[in-house]
Amino acid sequence: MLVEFELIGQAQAGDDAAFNRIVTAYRKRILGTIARLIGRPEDVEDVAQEVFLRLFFSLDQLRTPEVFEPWLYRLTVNASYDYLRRQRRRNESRMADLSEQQVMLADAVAGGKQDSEQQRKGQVRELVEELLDGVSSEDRILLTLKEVEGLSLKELEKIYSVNENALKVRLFRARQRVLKAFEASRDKAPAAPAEVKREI
Amino acid sequence: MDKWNDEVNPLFAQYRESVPDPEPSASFMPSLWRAIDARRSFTSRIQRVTRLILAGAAVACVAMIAAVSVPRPGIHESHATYTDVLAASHPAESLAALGIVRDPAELGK
Repeated sequence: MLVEFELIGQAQAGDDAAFNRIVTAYRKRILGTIARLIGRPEDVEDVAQEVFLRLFFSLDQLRTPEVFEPWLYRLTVNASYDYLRRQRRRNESRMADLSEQQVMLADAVAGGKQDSEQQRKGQVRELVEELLDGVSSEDRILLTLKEVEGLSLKELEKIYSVNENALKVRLFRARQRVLKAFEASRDKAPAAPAEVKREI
Repeated sequence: MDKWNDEVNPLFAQYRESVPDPEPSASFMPSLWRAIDARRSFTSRIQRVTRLILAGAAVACVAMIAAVSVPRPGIHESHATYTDVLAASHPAESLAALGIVRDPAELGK
């Protein structure tokens, strides 16, 4: 826990300063999780604001401060899921809609300004995002929480409110779908970046 | 699942490194509080309007109950039947003026 239980109690009682301190403590972690869940850096702050807005107006529904973190994660997952659903509906692929980071990456590659480390990271990011784009929003979020954020099955159980076996089944199926997308992407693009290929 | 452990899992671990936690912008907290205040004032406005509507409905109910239950002068409660009241309001003379003649058997009753 990044904050004391007492502080959560104070925020629940309507103390704005206490709420402010909670946001300050968690915002960086939440921003990071959202960045990896949605894969679009330019929208991360908007989604994070939605998470904390939902937190503010539903804090009184929290039964005990002990479940605060899984609950905050659930709000994060829900807001990210809503965002991804809206994005999928738009189904955009124009250059104007590419994420800032992708545009910067493209510009830097074109200008030959990127060092190899940045380039490698950019390629990993692109490859993983392409794989995650190939599965449903539900699978994307579940896999990111488990494989990227490193949450345990126990933690996921609390967030999703389902038992461990059901989670294992969902994870297994999601992994199968990603593996399929991974193989398809390798078959489709045999000339994948050399460094990334070596890494994996 | 070997392929997962050997190839995809390390890729996810690298992805974690390649997307670090971003620093919040300077406007993060001010815009969050602006959004909270906007929603708070919207909610309180809705609550105020709802309260006004409820109060108006309660006043209208009380007024209607009062209007129905208070006896109005000039209206006499009658125990006569509908036909008696109708006959009384249309005397035979005025009916005769219209060319309507009552059945004598009916008149004899």
